[in-house]
Amino acid sequence: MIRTSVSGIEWNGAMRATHRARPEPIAEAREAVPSALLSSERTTSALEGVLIRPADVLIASADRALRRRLAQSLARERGLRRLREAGDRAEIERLVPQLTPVVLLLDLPLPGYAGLESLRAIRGLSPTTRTVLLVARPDDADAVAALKQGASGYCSRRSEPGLLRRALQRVRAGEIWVGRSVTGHLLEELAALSHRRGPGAPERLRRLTAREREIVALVAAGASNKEIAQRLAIAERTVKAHLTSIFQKLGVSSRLHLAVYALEAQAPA
Amino acid sequence: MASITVVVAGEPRDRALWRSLLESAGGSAVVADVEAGQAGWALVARLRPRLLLLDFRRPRLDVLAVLPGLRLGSPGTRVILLTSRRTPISLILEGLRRGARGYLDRAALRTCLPKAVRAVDAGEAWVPRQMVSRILDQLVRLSAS
Repeated sequence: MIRTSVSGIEWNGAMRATHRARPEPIAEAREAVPSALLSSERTTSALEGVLIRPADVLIASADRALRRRLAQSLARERGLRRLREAGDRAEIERLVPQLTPVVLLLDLPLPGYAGLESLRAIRGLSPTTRTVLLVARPDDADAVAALKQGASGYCSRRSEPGLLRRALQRVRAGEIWVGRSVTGHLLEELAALSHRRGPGAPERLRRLTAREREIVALVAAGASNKEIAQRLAIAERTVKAHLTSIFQKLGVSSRLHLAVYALEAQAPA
Repeated sequence: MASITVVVAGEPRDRALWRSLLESAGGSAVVADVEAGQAGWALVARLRPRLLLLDFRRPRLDVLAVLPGLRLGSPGTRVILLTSRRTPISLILEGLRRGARGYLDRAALRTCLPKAVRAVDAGEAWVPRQMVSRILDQLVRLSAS
């Protein structure tokens, strides 16, 4: 399963860029505009629209009243361009490819979409769309399953409007929106999996040359570049070149990380 | 909040600060503060604390190396890493993969330590929101492989 982290990163970058491109003086300038000119929310959005990438949001729920409530609550949210609604699978399949919304608020079950497997189908329609699930009875294990299927957020249907708006903002910024207890479960599972499988260190170490493996052993023993150079009777610059190559082959970013890696490779599986 | 046992490893001056922060927050009984190193780890293994604060500002190999064993030897111990802005994210992630339940930047210590301790004690995680997607990515990658 491939998560669409690339789009998340791009979007993150865009958000950071817009934050930087949103200097205080503009906010002051806006306050200096006579309030009559800012009578509608639309004016504010139009002003901000230049600065923040506008986002389309699709609200999908079989519950018409809930859709309306969410739409009203989000209508005040800045930086949103179009807010559309879908009531069943057919509408989602029509609107998602057409809008490629930044965020889809998805209230399951929906006619045609029963469970979490629909998340995969929706990603097929628009890989960049980030889905926030709305559920009647939040459950940590269910949330973990949803995240693994590609959801970017998990909220109760009864969440306060303010909380949902915040969730939407964070998800738009490329983050995952779940409760701390869900994150606890994620960590627990990550640790259990890491523990069971190990990092596959031994196979990767085999990709190194004999000289590189010698250097890894010396780094793991705590030797400095200078010491390694002396021990192997090579130039310090050569040691550095070897290390760069080793870092690349093993996908590690620091000496310490390399040492940890080497320790793991030595440990019995 | 249940009474919890906390052991802190780090510089003596820091340990004193963390200890006082925990104790003034109430509910946390700091039974021992220990230096990192062989003797420290032996004490941790014997005490099997409910909560363990580990100094990870200058990531140390022995901190990472000790985590998997701790997980086996004292599964009930929940670890919080104390980091600094300079601690590489990849190493923090490595710590989380090895079973730490959260981490806290030194700058946020005074405001967040009691909250973090309560959250982790309740089985929750204490990591910044931005970290959750990284954790999930790792998890998905590991599940897939």
